[in-house]
Amino acid sequence: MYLRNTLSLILLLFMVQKASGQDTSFHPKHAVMFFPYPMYKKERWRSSIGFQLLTTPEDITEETRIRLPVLDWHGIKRISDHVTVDGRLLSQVLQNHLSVGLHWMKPITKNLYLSAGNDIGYWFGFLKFAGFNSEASGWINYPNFSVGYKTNRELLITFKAQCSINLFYKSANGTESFSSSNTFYNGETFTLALEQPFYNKKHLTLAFSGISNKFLWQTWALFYKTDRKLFYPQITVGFIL
Amino acid sequence: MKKLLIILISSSFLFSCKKDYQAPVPDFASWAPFNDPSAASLNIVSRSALEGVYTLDKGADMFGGLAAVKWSYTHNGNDTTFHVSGFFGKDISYFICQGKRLNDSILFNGYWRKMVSTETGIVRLTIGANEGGSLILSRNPVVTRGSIVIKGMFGNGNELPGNELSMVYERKLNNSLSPFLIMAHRSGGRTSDLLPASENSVEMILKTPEFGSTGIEIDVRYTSDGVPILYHDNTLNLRVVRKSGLTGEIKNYSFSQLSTFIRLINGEKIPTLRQALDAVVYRTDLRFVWLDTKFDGPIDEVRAIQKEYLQKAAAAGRSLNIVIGIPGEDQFNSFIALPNYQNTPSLCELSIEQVEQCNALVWAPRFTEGPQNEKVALIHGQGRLAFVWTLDVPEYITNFIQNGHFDAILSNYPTCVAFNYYVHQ
Repeated sequence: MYLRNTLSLILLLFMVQKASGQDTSFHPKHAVMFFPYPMYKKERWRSSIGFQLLTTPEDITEETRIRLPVLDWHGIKRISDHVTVDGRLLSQVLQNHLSVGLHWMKPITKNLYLSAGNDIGYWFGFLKFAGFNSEASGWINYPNFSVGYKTNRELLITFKAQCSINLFYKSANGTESFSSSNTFYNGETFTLALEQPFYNKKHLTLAFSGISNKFLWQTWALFYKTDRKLFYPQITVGFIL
Repeated sequence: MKKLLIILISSSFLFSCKKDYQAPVPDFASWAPFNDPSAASLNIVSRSALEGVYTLDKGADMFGGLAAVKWSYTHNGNDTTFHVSGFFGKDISYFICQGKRLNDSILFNGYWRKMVSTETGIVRLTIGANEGGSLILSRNPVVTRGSIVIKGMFGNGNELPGNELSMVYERKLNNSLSPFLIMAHRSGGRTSDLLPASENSVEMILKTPEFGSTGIEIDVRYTSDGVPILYHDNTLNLRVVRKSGLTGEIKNYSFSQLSTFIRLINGEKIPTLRQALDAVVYRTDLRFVWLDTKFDGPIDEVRAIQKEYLQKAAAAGRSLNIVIGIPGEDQFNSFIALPNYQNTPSLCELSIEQVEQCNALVWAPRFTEGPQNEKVALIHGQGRLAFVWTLDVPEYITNFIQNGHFDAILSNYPTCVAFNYYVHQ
């Protein structure tokens, strides 16, 4: 499965490279995080800060559903006109997720842009009070693909599809622990992101995601993974710095 | 317009990935040899003889390398129904079958299930006359390694079985931690695990011995007219009950209202505590009931029912313990307000000091603090029992059985605890 996804991604990159689209110079007013806009020479960094709100499935997490917001910092560093490093930190203090990856972007027409990338994520969590003596961590790989549509006004719409492949899981309770390096296809996330100017030349990101995963790092303390994909709706709000 | 269309299409794609899962028990009834008029029930000698740990020759990719085969039964008046269960090590899988003899062969007909997914199907197995059938049906069978071979097929869903399964007798079931209890959460398992009966129902109590359970935990609440019932959540919600139009806290409804208008997910009525304990005492061989108190306030009524059913169990010749759970400080204070509380069997989830103060029969810590062998030894030294809850991760269940000294594991997956306990050496 992992090999199939990687090959699909390479094929997709090749096809996009062959499609000779019209390049468009970056305009500073479009300081975006999700939209697959190339970073031309004038720019080095983009970053945003915001939060995510996730709803866990009621039939599984019952009355202990997590409703805490997740702090979200997202940064992009230019490597070349069409390649960036994408880094992200998600934190709920007791559980955190860091990811970093390379993204390649390509304008197809004046309004249509594509990107493909791959991120590696590391998550860790710990609960050491109220009868808990637990900690866990893991590695996850996220191949992803985005299509961006630039409207004639200032709204930028991005549709992002991302796979999740679990690479490693480790958990400990008291003196007992176990780890698993079983690589398995975990699920997919589809995101619709809207980005536009907000206030004083600052930009706002509003993203709606549907996560369909066997295991989600934010639920490590609630239940173990199953072979059933569970659905988690999520909203992301980001203020582009 | 174009922009709106893009947003609408993307949104519908975004939220189209939510899937409704089901794992219905397949229809396994129509197997001609099993339904042959000359096929007869097995006697207790034959049933006992084939219990054991088996090595899988075929089907190991699907179920793992070992199986623990064990019988269970339930009563209904003068009728007794026996089931043979096979507990496997891979993906929390198991089979549950009825068994019969046909001439000198033994037939098993039933279904298999994987708890980590919705995979299920029909299973049909045979012990041929020369592969242990005649031995098992003899008057005094002496079973040794390799003397029984269980062969057959399993399928997917309602399809006719087409995949081979073969198991060879290896050794007797482990009983070294006796009297170890396999405690099933919410009377047998959570509704979300798509079992054939709803959590906290009489129907689940009657199913749970098939999952290997030897004890149950049930959640007790009061209705507005003071009837103790089995229900986990604070509110009526679609996780637990079918759509009825009634919402809000369950304590605001009378038992009559709940009985008339509310059905659990699989169609059962919410049972009273008395109905549940009636089923335990008179229809199962369960050895332990943990009444998890999901209410604040006086415990007198639950205490009276506990006492009544302990007497009924003793009168019926049953070895059964019923304990009142003390999960928090409020329940602890209500419990020690009871007259003669020190002689009331209880299970305390709090500190060891509080266990001693209320003279609890059982100390029950969360699994998240690990096996805590020193504390468990201290509790055993006081003549008490130690249970651990709620352990669902297969790797931890294995670790706790191999390295811990608890007297019981409470789990949503009793089949997994049963496998690990019975194959443990």
